[in-house]
Amino acid sequence: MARFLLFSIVIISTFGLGSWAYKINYESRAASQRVKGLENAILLANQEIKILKAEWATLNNPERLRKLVEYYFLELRLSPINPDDFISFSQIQWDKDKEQAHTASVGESLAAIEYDR
Amino acid sequence: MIDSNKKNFTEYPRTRARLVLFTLFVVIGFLSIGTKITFLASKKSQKNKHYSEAEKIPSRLNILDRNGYILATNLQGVSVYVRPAEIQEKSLVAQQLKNIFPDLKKAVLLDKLNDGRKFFWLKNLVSPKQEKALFDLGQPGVYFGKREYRFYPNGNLASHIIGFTKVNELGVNYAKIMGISGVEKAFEKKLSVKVLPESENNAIELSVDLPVQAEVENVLKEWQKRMGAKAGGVVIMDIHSGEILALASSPDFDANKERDPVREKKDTSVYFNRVVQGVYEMGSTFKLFAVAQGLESNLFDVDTLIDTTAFRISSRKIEDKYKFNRKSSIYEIIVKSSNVGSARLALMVGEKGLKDIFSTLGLLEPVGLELAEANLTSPIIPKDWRDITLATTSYGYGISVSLLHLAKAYAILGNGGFSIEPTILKKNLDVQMRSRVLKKKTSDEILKLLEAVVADQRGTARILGSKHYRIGGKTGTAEKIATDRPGYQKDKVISNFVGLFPLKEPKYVIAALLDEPENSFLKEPCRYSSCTVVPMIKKLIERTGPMMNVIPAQSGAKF
Repeated sequence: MARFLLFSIVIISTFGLGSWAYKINYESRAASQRVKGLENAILLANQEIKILKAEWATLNNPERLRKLVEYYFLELRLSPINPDDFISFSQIQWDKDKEQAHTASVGESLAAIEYDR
Repeated sequence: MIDSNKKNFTEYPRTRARLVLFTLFVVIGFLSIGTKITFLASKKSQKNKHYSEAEKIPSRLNILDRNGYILATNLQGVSVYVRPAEIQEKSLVAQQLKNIFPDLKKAVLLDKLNDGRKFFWLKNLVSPKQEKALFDLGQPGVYFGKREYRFYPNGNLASHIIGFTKVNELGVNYAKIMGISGVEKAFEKKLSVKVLPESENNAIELSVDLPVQAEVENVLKEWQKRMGAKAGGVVIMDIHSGEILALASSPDFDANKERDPVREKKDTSVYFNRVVQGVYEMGSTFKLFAVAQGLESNLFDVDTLIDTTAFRISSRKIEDKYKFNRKSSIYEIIVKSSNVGSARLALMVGEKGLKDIFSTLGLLEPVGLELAEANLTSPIIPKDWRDITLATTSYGYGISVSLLHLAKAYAILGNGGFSIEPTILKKNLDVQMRSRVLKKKTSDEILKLLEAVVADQRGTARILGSKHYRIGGKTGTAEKIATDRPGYQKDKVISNFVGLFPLKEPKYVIAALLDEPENSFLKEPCRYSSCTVVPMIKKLIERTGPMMNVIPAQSGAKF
């Protein structure tokens, strides 16, 4: 009886471990394939990103932009940045009325919030 | 039961031995499986690590400008190769291939198909359209090989900085690219990688500012054309960190076209970097150096009066083109650019003094820029430092340096007297250790003199006066050495200018030269720097200043 039990345990555990090892092996191969697939997908995506970035860089080539600016000058009136474009803070023309109106509206909104409370 | 088993085992020793052997076998089996599983699961095991095919292909890092704009990148391409043995109707295939690639010759193709070779490259790089056409042929014996190729999105822009590449090693599925010049060559080891880096930031970041570079190249080309100059060069550098923001040399080349094999005879002068590789006698831009040495060693100050009447050293007469007073101050010598005055100053400073200042400013050795071209470019220094040599070198004859040498020297003079080394890489200034090589006072005095050249109504660069920026600088015009006879050519000059701006707190040095310019828009043709290079510098500063966030002086410069 004991011998039967012993053999049964050995046989069952051998088959059990065997099928477990087979399952693990199978799963790990499948995972490995999946990883390979993902890696390739990442590489392809990276290559696409690279191409798009290169295309973007080509489209933004300063020489190309300069030609476009010249071509569309009548419509866009774009001109190179000039030292005259810099002005000091005190030179900014403030629209006093608008500024006051804005302050007033902010004040009113604040008052309304206070009222709601 | 147990007793009977015991009895059996003792009675049947062979059975016992078999059982023990079997158990041992099972245990060893399990142990070996366990060990293998543990080994496979362990992170250290490299055998299990796999890369996809593309990852094994040698690649190359991107080159970016200081803002992150792409200057050079690697893209996937396809090359085509042929195995003639697999092709049956060779004549038909040759015709089909000719239809797709009109530049190929049918007779040459047929020869290659019939001469018994096993393999030949049809095309190194084909367009997607051509690839599809080939694929649609469905012709056995025509194969595609993946390969990477170098792409420069900005064409000619910054070509002298970036350099170009060639295919060094061509496999069926890869092409190993090698840098031939510029950054591509200088950083070859860092740029060429086996496995694509995971981090996108893994690129080489240059100090160059692409929009500034574009503007500089545009203005340089325009001015070169206007002045009928053979060639030209401009460099803009940060005087504190040594970072080069723009470096333009004209004529230039499109690095994208360099990958094709050379068919027609090409003008190789386009590869010559006028800023880094070209060494020239610079003329009056050298006058400041003897003055700097004299100020540094307290030999004189800017108001010291010097005899400016013509004199002879051996048989050679030192004289000025314009009339000077009998005695002129050093201020006047620099502002009006007197050769006689400079020669007298050099003789006062002496051989040791002049050599010291040249050495301090790095004019006696190659510039330590990362580019290989810079390391290979040595200045041409006089062998024998006699009095006449001292006199001529003081106004820029008899010694030849590159424009980058001049820019570096002026940067040291203008940055408070700190030693710097030009660099093409983006740097963090905070980590840079700078060592002082000149007194602050010398630097301040030099800046005043440089400003006077522009601000004084007698100054040679007075037309540079800008209502927006305070600029200082020195002009230089040197006749070129005649090739067919001893002496110089009167009608062929190198005109140059080196300036610093904004003078309130000097930040940038700008150096430019034009090779054989002539301004024919004036009443009389003029070749001097003041009428050829200086107007270009004015345009360059007013265009690039705002791009480099140089705020114009609020009260306006005093011109």
